[in-house]
Amino acid sequence: MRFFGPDVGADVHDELRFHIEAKTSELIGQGRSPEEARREAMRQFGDVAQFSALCRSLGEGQLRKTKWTDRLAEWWYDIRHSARALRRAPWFTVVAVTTLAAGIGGATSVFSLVDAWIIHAVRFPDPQQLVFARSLDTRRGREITVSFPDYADLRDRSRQFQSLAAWSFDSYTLSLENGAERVAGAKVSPNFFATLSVQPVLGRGFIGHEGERGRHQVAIVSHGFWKARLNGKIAAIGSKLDLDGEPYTIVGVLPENFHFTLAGRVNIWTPLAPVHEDRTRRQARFLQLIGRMKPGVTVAQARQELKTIAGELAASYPDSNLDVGSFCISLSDEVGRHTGDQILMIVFAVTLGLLLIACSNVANLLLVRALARKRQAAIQLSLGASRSRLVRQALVETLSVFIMAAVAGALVGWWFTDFSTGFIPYDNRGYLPNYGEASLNWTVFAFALAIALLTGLISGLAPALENARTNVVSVLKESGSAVSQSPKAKRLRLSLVTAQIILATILLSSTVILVKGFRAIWSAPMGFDSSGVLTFVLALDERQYSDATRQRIFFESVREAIAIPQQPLKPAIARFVPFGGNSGQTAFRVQDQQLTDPRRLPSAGFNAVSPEFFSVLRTPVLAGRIFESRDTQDGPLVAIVNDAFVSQYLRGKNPIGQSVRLSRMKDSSAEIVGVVAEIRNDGDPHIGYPQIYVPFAQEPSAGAYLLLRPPSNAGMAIKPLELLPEIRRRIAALDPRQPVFDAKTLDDRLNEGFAPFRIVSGILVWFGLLALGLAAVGVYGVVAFSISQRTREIGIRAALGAGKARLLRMFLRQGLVILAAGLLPGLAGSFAAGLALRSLFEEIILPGLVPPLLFTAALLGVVVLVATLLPARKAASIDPLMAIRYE
Amino acid sequence: MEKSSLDVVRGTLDVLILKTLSWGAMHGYAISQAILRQTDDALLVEEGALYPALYRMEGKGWLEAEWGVSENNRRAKYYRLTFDGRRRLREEMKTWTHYAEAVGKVLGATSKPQWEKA
Repeated sequence: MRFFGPDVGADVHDELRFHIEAKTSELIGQGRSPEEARREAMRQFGDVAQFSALCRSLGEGQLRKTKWTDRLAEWWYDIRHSARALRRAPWFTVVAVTTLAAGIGGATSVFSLVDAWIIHAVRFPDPQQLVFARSLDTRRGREITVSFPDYADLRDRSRQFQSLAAWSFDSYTLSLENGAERVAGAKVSPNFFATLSVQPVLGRGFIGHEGERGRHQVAIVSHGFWKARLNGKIAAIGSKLDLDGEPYTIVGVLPENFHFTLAGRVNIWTPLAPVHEDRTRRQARFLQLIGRMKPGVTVAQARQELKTIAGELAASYPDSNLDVGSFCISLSDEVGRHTGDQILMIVFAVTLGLLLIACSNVANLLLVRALARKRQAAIQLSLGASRSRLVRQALVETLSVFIMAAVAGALVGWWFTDFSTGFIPYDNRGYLPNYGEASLNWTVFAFALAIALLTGLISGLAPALENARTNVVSVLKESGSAVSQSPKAKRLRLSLVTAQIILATILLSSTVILVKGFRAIWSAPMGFDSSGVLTFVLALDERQYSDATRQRIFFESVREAIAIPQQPLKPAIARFVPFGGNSGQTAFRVQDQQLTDPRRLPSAGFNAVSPEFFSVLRTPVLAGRIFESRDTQDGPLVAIVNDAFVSQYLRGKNPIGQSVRLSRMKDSSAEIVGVVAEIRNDGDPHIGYPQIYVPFAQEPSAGAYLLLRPPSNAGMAIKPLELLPEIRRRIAALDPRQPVFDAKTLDDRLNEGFAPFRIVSGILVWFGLLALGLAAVGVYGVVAFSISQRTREIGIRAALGAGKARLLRMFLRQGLVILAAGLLPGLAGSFAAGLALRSLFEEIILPGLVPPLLFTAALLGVVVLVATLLPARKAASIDPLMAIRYE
Repeated sequence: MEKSSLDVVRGTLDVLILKTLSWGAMHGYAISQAILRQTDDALLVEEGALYPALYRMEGKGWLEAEWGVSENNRRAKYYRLTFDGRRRLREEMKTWTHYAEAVGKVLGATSKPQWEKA
């Protein structure tokens, strides 16, 4: 079968040779010798070369003529023919297209996320040279921020870096004519933008001396800020911004596509110019580092060098750096950690598995269809159609299905991307590459096309070739329109279904494991009731409110001002709030306790809170009391600890009355007056973290959160955010220059913390259900088909006295065989996958492997049984007479 | 229409092939055998001349060719008439019959024909 076009020369040669050999045979039959016969045949034929050449040129000329007009007509006919055929079998078309569209759409959608968030995550020049670094608490193995002196030493002593820069989050009060506003910003070392190889699109970057206190009042703004607030005017350079009460000169504007994802949405960048205390105290850790390595240096080498320098610092400064190491990974890995690269790749693998299941389903459908058209194909062949034409027709039909599926799939993918990324909270988007967007671009489109073509080839080629190989005579000789399948096709179908079950098992069990693990993250006890609590930040201008007394008085007047009359519970003040993005820490020493190493003090979580704090949050109080108004700055220092603190450091003793020295409060000693439950501050599922609270009145600060819980009287619940305008007004009445910002409900904060896990869980559950559905449809198809093949046999058996139950059992057995053949290797694969997931996700507590596997096995078992029973029941109730007569 | 002698020969061969194929599809060898037998070896000087004719007629759309399997299981190219080919055969037969009638009339005259008196 010459598929790529006939080979005219060879054809002519074959044809003429046939003639001569036929003549030779005839002459031999007349009695001549073979050599004589051949010579005579050649003589009678004439000039072979001349005739051959003539035929060849004639043939090739014809070929060229027919080539494009006829071929085009042929293709057009094939397309119309397929369209008609597909329309006549709507079920097949709809099922095939939707199955494929679901698979292709899912794969495209997830791939667009992969493309936007992983492949193109870091958009700086030479991104492979960029690394992210921090310090390391070597005792706990936790990453911590870097102090300025440590940074200076790392920068000066390292040889592997072109430049090493530091940055820290910050926010400023931007004072405008009509009020004040809080904007997110960052303080960066002067070489920060140079390290990223980013040039401001207007103006200049920072100069070295701007890192000195006094010369630091310059700012670089983001492109969006420049457009929106400064009207995009060039004159913006040199104009001034009032930040935290000081005038800052704008010296540069960043490019529009600049996005430093680790900092989120930052609008104003100022130089890092720490005050003297922060510049010299090695315990003041607040910086994060990025560095650009010299060409040729690997991350491992950079990591090693930083570790060495950290070790030198630990030796030179044991008081502050004894247990401080360093942490260094490539910038894209760090961004990936924030984005959840691993999870995304797992979801991508799940999606591809789903696509495979969809493809095998469609392959099965196509095989059945090829089988159904076997008879028609045989008739076509006998009427003179060429086999290559038949194959081409089958392929065109398959391709049409796939093109429709590809288009539908692309649309589904586009919609699904929008839909799922729409669930990402606004604030989280600032930290995702491309602001959480993942649109359909040409790369993704090409990927979708490639996938569609590949699946088309895989699923469509086998049945098409199968059809072309039909032996016309034997097919036509079969009686009846029920054409039997070749054993090869039957085996292919069964193995496809088995493969589907294996894939579905692995997919489902992995989904169950991951979803269970994720659920544990957000459903573990929080230690507080987040519903209906409004929180916001007040960051007082430190020059106006410079001492503790002024701060305390202002916050208490705010608390009075915004208290709701019907609500006896006043708003709470707290230095830190759960899921607020940061939390406090303090080293401590329990009185009268021996320490193994006096230089190594344990540390606990720290917060300064007003008396209402635990009541507003509804945190259970386990012993003693909470703070009261008598715990003022004039009274003795008191503290409240959590249950983890007690179990780790006060075992066997009554915690009430114990004293603890807090390094954060200048080593003063506080008396423990109460014990509360542990409050979870972030998405970390691990519990058992000791926490210490002191009264806000005894440790006020310029910046603090306010929390209030509006009352919900008899069904009329006030939405917390509705209170905001009134709150702003009242606080502005007290001091208009202190803006309210970061106002969110606690539920919003929790959602931001858990959103990634929630979204991924949702996607996985959907895909798992889809895989289950597809596998069920696959099994149903196979069983239903084999029943239709054996209708006669069923009729005979029924006529011979086989009861319904007996027939049912027959088909049930077939279903069970399929189930067992797929489930056993599937479970083995699931086990392996589960172990792999375990090792990948150490931070998430994944559940034990056995229960999810059992659940998956049971679920699949039920589904397969139902998919088997449905057609079997229909079969068992066939009228035997009709079945026997079934043609 | 003026035909050269080569065209006459060609035209003859063509109509013979068309007529032979009107009995059914055949491969080239069978066609040449049939013509040889029916014309008692009179007309086909070289058997190979058949093939360019077949190709030409296929190009004109009078024949269709397909590869098949011969009686002794060898691969052979079979030709058959198309719809256009059948029409061409009918036309050619009419032409030949008229031509033969006309020639026959002239050749069959038993007495000198009466021409117009000058």
